[in-house]
Amino acid sequence: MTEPVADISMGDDDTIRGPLPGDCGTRVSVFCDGVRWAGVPVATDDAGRSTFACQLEPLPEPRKTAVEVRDAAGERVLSRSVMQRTRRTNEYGLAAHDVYRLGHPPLTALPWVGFDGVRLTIGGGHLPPRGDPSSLGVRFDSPGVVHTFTYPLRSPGWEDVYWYWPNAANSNLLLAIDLPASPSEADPFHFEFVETRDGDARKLSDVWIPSDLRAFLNFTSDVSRIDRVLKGNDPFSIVLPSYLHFRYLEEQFARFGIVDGAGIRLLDWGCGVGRLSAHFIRTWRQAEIRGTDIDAANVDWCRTSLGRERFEVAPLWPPTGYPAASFDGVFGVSVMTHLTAEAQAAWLRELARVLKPGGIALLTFAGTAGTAVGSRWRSASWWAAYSARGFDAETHDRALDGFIDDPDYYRHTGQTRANVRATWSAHFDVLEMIDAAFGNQDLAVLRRR
Amino acid sequence: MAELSYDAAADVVRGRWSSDGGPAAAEIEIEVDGAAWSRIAGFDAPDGGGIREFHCSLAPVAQPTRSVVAAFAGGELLGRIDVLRRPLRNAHGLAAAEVLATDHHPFSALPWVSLGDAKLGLNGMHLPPEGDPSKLSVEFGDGVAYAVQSGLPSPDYRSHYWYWPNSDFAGFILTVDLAASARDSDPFHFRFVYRSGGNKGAGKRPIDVWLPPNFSSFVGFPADPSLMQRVQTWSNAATSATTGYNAYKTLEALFARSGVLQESNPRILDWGCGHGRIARHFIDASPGARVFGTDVDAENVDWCRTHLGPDRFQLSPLWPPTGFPDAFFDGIFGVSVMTHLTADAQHAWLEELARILRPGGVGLITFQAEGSAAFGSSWRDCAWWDRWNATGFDDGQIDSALEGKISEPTYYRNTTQSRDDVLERWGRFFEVSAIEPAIFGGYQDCAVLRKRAQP
Repeated sequence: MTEPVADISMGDDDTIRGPLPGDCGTRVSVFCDGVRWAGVPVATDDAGRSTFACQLEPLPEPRKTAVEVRDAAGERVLSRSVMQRTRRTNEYGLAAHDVYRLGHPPLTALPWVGFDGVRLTIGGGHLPPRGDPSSLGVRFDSPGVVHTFTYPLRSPGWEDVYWYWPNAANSNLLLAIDLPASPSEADPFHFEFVETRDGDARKLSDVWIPSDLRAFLNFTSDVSRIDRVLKGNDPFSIVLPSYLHFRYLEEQFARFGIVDGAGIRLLDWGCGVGRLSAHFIRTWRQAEIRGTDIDAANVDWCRTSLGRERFEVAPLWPPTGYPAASFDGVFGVSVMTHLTAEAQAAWLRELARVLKPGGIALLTFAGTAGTAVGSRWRSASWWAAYSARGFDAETHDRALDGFIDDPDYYRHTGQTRANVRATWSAHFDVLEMIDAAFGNQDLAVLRRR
Repeated sequence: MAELSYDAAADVVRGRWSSDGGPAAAEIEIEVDGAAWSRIAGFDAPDGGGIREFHCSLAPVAQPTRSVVAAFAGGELLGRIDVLRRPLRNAHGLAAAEVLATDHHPFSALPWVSLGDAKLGLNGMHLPPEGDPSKLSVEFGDGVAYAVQSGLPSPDYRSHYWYWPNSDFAGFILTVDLAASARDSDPFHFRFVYRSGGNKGAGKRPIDVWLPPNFSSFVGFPADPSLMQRVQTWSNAATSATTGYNAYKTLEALFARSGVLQESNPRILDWGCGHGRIARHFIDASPGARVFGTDVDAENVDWCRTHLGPDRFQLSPLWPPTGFPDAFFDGIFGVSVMTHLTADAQHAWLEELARILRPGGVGLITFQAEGSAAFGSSWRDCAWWDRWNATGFDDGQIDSALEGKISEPTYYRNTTQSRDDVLERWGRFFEVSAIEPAIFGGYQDCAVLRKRAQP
């Protein structure tokens, strides 16, 4: 073993950095107190030297850590030092450890899909599983799908939003699938993100790519309509995420036997620009798809573009005009995330009314991940109070200002699993809760008694 | 005012002017003897300094002709020049005016498809109709949001389409905004439409183009590019996917018109299947149809057997018979097959196709007609052209694409034949119910053949 050569330093952000010998390969592994922590890419600085940066796991208290930088295989030690570490916090004193320890799944966002005539390219980001970028991979069901997965890439801005998540700055990815080179019988349009640790690959999530280009049709080109539904998005970036959400909903409904068929009725509660309804309408040819929203301008667009008879404006408070026991399934994606406790209760009662007995409601809520993602702006005292109470809807969401009558109605609502179980079970059987099933939102699977 | 000059060797008028104090117009209108001739793009001169340039071919003349050429920008006169137009000839002395007199459809090359920002980008080439890029238009159905840029520079086209005026303005880019297109719209089908006007009379019949609406059309092509290049020179997986799908849709429409696909479980033969670029779509899209393919290229047939179904594909002998029973097929198509056969081989295969097609069955067989003769005219001399005009048939040129892959080195040809020739020779075996000119990319014609009922 050669002597360690690298001169490593520790920054305020709990990140170790330093130059590396030129022959250290494309990746180095960082060990903390003798345990492998993460593998990070070797970069080249302006002077042409090899360097690296690796953020360490947030600590509850300051302490010393013995840090070793080794080659990718973990065999050759490049640097060895003892670092004085701090308890990392945001600018409001909230400890990263307090957020990170809740352990939500590594989030992913895949807004970009492109095709150059040969390669289908998916782009976006995925938080490094357990802070270790070298552990993320993709896996296709079918053998022989020819692809290259480039990860991690720098992801500007992610380290601000996911400030508590180690190595969030290394979250961008590009997946290029060579369609002609993949066998005719293969399915290159479905893959899984996997976390590989000690040789075992564990599935993290499914991704479906819309192979039918008709899935890209008919999103409103008015960015403001979309922005009210999905902050910071445009007609393009909602296509792939919406398709993914549609596929998740389809999968969940199928578990309960709710599939396309004559007489089946689904309600898109909070349909917005119809980004989910559009996929159901396109592919569920026999079922009746209905949608409703309090945003009249968006409902208007849906009525014009996706079928007049299918959409109507919802009042801020129930009841709707739908007959009792008229739906097999209801889904509400990013709806509960905007309602006060009182509005949640009123709407749960209404959804239970319009569902058939045994009908399924799939409702998302801002649980662990949803709250963590907003934690950049939260103080230690807010966090402590929220953790104790399990519910917060104090922050107003201005997105619908001018589009609804009551300026106090629309909120940013976070709630814990325990809170959902305690309050929503008054109206439904809470069958299951799935972490981070819809972006950073959790899914509650509910059944009408 | 612009300084205009005439380049007699290229039969091109050039202009140069300073945009400083003069118009910087992107588009220049050219008039010849007071009649509108063409609208072409203006460019910044390579030497810079606010100098703009344009160049525009004139309509080829048969005899030296005096004309006045005027250039306008936004209706404002840029300049005027008296020219003595010279007949444009290729290196072998053949006159462009003679080639252009065949009055064929403008050639088009199917677009390269890409996707980004939920917009489909379609890049391709289309010769300017009647030498005027502004006479090309693209029409989609209702509800499709799209933009067209055409008349883009295509300097590579100048030497091959030497006789076609302004062939160096053949580039186009279509951008289809999928997200902004209506739910029930069809952004995967458009037509090239030719505006009539000027001094040449009516435009040509529109050409339909279909694009693959599903990424699955691009999955699974031969890893060895030579397999594809034997089928279509210059092709690759991306172009094979697009042209294969378009050919499939074109054939499907013709079959549907003839009633073949409406039958229950029709048997369809892809005669000359290559790597199955067309057959694969019939297999996917018509589950009821029993699709077969055959080819003289054993490696490509092997590839099809492995990837598209072992029972569907079989090697074809160079000369009939095939192993198919009499009256076995309801429909047969052969794209770019007759275009490679001698008169003798065409004769033998027509007899065989008539044998294996059921009475009333339909054959869709493409051939290289008048347009193809013109497209290939850069290496033809006057004698060849006169002979072609007199006989309407040429199979003299050997095509080396299958060299080493088939046992007879002189079997594979580059064959051109007139519509009259097809009506006469093919008409001996089939009722020729229609000839669809330029229906495959503005390039090959298609004969719609029906097998006569048994006497």
